[in-house]
Amino acid sequence: MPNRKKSQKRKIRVRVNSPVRVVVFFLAPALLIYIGFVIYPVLTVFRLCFFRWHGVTRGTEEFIGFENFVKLAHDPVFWRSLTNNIILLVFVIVISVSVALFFAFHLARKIRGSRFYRATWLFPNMLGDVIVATIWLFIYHPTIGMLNYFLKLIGIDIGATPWLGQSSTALYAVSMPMIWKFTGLYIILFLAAIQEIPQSYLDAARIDGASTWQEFSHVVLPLIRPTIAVAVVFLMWNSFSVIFTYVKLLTEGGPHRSTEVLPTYIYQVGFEYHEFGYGAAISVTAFILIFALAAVVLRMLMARVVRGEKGF
Amino acid sequence: MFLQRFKDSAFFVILQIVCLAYSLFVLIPVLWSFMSSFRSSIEFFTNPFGLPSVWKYQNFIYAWKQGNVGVYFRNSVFITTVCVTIIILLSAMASFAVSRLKFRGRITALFLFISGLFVPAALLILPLFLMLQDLHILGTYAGLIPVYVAYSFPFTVFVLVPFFNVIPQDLEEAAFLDGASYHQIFWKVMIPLAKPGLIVATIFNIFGIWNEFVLGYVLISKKSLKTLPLGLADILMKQHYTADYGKLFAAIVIALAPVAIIYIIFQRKLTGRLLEGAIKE
Repeated sequence: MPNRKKSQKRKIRVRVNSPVRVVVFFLAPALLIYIGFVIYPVLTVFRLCFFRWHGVTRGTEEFIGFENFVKLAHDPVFWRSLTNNIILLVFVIVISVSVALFFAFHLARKIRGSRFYRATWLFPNMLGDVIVATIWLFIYHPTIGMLNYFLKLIGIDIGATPWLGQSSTALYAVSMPMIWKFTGLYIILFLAAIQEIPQSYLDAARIDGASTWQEFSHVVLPLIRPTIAVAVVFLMWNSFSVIFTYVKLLTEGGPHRSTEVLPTYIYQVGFEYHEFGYGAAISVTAFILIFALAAVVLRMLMARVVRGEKGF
Repeated sequence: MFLQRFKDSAFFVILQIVCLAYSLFVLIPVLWSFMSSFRSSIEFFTNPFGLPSVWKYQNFIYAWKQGNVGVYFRNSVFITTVCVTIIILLSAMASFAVSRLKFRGRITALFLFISGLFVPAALLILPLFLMLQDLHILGTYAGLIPVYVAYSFPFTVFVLVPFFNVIPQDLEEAAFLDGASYHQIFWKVMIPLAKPGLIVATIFNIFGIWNEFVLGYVLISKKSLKTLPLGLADILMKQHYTADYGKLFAAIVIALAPVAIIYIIFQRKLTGRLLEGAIKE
């Protein structure tokens, strides 16, 4: 049976290396675009940070070593942006993660209307940042805004407060739309993780007389910690694009740089001051600051993606 | 016993009130935007919160034509369709390669893609701008499309690879025994079985591209090429001078309508178990 033999040969071929042309055909298109438009710019930014360049004519780049970084260390606007960036991130993460944990924990205990709540709460996450920013710009409007109207309604009449226009409140005002947008996604993610917890664990805790709070802090929280870590880190990396959009549209970094953050400052340094080398140095600093954290999480993620492919 | 029961039910009533309050916090701004899109400019100041006294649907016509939203909308549909098609096709092929083919450097390739999850595009606006300028594709779709596609690979591959991983080896071997080629295996065995993952990845990419702002803001400057988020940002910045709020919100509603429709159709898939596969330790 020659036919049979041929098939067996084929079967063996599955276990050895796949033909090169097949690998190239399936992998190369994505890999090449990815290397060209993601990896290459990363390398460029690490090279550009050692040059002084206005970014127009090629060949006028001037190598200046670490001068950009020296300048950076003495640039109060850079430090202001960095601090604002960190405050904004920590504020958004702490508030949205705690609120999400509260709702996810209670939704998991099967309260009535859970499906409606999930659908409603996730919805803002589907809206674009520009739309969300616009809506919140009007919520904060000093005279016709919902926030001041609502405060007046419940008896807190503080007049036409310009939430985005005063340094004391602007940064927190910018963070609210992000919290509004992200909390729903966190609720859904945490809920999925909590529902994975075997019922027997929770039953055991209840038999031992654990209170609801103990059940949450001693059983649920430790078991979903990895999910929280992954979700938080994802938000942090996404956050640069997100933060850029809200700051750009809501405050333009003002008043008096009180909402300036790293990506908006990079944009300004590059496209308004035409100091591309200096802008690259700010990018590189941001990259390095988040790199250590990335290494840890990346290993966790790789472990997850690679796992379960034994046998081929 | 009775006291305990009373306490329990009181707790659940409070919980429901809290959940409803949070739902209102989420819904009221959206509903208010919807009503505002029918409000006249004067009513924004005289009656900003009630129902509009006259439902001024002309806002939509004005936004669509004079406000250029029609052009932005068509551009967004075009860019989203083209980008998502390329993203899903190439990501599925690459995920198949790193998941099912055997070759040296397989893990390296996977690592390269996944590590892209930690490359914030907003930190790369300067080199991207310079690179497209060098290639003479700055401010064109020939520049924007590959950039959108490239930055969508990490997440899409990350979502798809686990779906390819769990497809049983036997099916692949059986297909081989029947004399199927790699291409046939990819299209006839892998794609149908990875469909749930492909659907989730498609939806998330549609939302992602439809809403993308930062890269477009840096790379596109011509009004006729702007997508909805870029156009909306334009209209918004102009509002500081004209205060034509009704038209602004008509534009907002036009931009969020497709997203809302897709969300309502696939809402169960997104809030249910499928998302789990995407982000879970």
